[in-house]
Amino acid sequence: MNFDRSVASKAARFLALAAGMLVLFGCGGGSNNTPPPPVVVVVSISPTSGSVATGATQQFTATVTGTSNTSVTWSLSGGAGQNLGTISSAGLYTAPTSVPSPASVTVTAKSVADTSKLASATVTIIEVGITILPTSTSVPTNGTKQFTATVTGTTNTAVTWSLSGGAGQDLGTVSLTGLYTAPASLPSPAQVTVTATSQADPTKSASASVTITANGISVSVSPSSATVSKSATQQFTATVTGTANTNVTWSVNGTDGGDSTHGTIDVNGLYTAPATVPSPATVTVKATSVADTASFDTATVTILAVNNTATVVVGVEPDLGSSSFVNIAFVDVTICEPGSTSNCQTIPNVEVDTGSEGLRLLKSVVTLNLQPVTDGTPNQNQLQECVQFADYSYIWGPVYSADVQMADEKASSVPVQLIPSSDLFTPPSACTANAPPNGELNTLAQLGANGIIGLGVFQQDCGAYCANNPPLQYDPYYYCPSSGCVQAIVPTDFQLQNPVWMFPQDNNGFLITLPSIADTGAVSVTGTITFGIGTQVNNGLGSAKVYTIDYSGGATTGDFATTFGGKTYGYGGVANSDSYIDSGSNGLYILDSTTLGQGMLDCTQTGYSGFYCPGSSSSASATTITYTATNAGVNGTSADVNFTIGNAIYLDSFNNFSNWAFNDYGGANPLVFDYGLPFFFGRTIFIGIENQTVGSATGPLWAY
Amino acid sequence: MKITLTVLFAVLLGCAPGWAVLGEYENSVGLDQQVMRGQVRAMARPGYSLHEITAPGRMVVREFVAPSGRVFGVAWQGPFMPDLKQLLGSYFTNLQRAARSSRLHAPRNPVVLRSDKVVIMSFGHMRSFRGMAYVPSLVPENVSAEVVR
Repeated sequence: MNFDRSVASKAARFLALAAGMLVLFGCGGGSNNTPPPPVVVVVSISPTSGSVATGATQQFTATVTGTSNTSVTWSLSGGAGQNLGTISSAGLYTAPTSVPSPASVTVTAKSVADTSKLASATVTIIEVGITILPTSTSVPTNGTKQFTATVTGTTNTAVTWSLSGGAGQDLGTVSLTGLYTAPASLPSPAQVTVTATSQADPTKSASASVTITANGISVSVSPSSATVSKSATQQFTATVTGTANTNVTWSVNGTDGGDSTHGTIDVNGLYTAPATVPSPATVTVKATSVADTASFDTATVTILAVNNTATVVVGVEPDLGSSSFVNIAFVDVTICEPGSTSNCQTIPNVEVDTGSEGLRLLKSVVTLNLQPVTDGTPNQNQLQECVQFADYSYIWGPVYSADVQMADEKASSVPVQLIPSSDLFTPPSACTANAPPNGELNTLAQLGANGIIGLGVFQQDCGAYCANNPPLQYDPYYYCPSSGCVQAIVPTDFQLQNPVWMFPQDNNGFLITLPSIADTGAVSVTGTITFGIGTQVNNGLGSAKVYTIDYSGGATTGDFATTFGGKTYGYGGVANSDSYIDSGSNGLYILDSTTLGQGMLDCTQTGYSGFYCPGSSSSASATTITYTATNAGVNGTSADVNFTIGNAIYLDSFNNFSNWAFNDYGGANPLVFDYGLPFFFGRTIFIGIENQTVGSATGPLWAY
Repeated sequence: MKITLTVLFAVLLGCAPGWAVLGEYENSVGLDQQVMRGQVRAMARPGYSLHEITAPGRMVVREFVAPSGRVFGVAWQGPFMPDLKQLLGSYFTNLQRAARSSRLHAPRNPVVLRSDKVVIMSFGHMRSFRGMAYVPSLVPENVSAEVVR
């Protein structure tokens, strides 16, 4: 690290001042004091957005009012030099055979009567992929086998199941859910092909080969698929029925016991991945019945270069028990003394917060001897930080350097904060002045977690702002010489970091996947955080749409735009409004009951004020209300999202106050869409980090 | 609601008008713009006036002043929180009461306080915090509280 900041910082300071003046002159209300306009030509287009598979077609319709000449001319626009497909004079769009970059194509209809009037629609070109599991198996006559099809590249994951085989033969049946039932007698030949065809793109299908046997033996391998990092192991189990001899032999890609290229498997089904990733990175593990080698089942193994997936749990904090907070997403974080692989410590139950940056841990849980981050003066004054949050709670603590690891991803020499430092230095008055009673988050009970890992869209918690501007009263960084704590200009590499961008690989972002849960909540929910976007086989964007956010260097709000009820909030919306995704907000803090409408009520019962209580403002009600809003990125990507809000009293007390994960509770936050943790359930949400490349886009961005 | 923007004057650091806190007179207690090292300007709006301080790095504080000279609303936006004790004055303790914890009220969430006495909202995430507050009884006649943004 170096501490030189003279020239660059002066230039940046000037730019920041200029940006401030832009704000100055850009603000203020508009006028709607104009007389009603005369009748003019208006063009509208339908649909206004959608997805089209490569090579597929979509019919667009343009409606022209205000003139008798309703003709339009159609045109396409998108990435320069890209094949965008074609559109006919009748509005029939044919997508290109490969996905352009960017994947969005704008379809425009222009009035012939008034060529200044036009309407546009945005089409996302998708490349549908489909896989089937198992890819190969045997089924005895009258036996059954469940097949699973996975569709990628589109939100329409529906498939059509079909069978093929010998002409005129009874091939058995396959259900709408992929359950195959073999015929009562052997067909000729005794091979049946089970095919899943994408409904989104019927040209895409995946097939499995089934051998029908008359021996009554079923073999089933579990799990049917696995992802393993190189040299790591995966236990498989084979269940054999229909014979007393339940032994199997194991093979990898047709080789008994496997080999060093594709991985090995022992007699007990323990698979060990190879030391280097094979090509292709997917291998097939097969269990064959010893009683009759005609009977077998297979599993698919994907080998990763680096294990990039950590487990995320939303549930009770074990040490807090009933004093936990609901909807906190926890992850294990390992910290090491820089450069050491032995002086390490895994801290469980650290909150994943996409609304901040940087790792902040309770000092009481850290046993390592970490080196302070200092100002480099002879006094070695240690960097301290005060972070204030929207409710004016705050964190005050010193900054140390540590290696930070999740899954097998490790960032070196990351500035991290240990809290509190009240035992060392009294928090400055600017840090505490706003705080409510007990506002310092300095204990497990206050924080609700052993720490917070800020994994947002930025690299640092403050960024250029703190590196280039003389600190203001409320800015976060301090040095504390004996004369007292003073605020400091701090270079970005001294600031707290989102560790993901410092990983040696898989460092452009990450994705969080949480499963769907019931509207009444769940005791505990397990999901994943996977590092990298499009860097390994398990972290592709797929059909996710990319939403870039308001960003211009250090001066940024990080907002996108949300339109609801005819008004837009956040980027480009009504003054001082906001729209963002924040896993560290534990509810859906969205607008107010009047603006939400559909009968939404505010809770009036003591202890629930500020939350929503549909159905009954003062008592538990099973009522839920679902809303649709339209999110739009600064890049123009736009799509509807649904969110559901239930009755906070009902949800809190449901299951005797034992549910800790909810997808549907929230509270008032006028002018704001704060998509908190409930928004993550049933979704995979990608977070692209600032200045990092994600596909054809550059972070900061969201995708889902 | 009809708003006509008229920029009366823009003054630079050093010749600012007196500044004030919520509920008090504009020249009573100084929210010292020097604290923000900001530029300040005043604008006349129908039924009230707006004072806006813009600091380097985008911090903006707006104060809404009734013809009586009393500040009926304040709004802020910036990468970090402003000094709300200074902005909200005696109403600050109301905010402190609103920011409390329970099983559902986890820390670090937005705070919304709505009462007959004062309305306060504070929200945002790291690098972008915003909020607004107004005193319903001080909002001038024929002015909507929605101007406080």
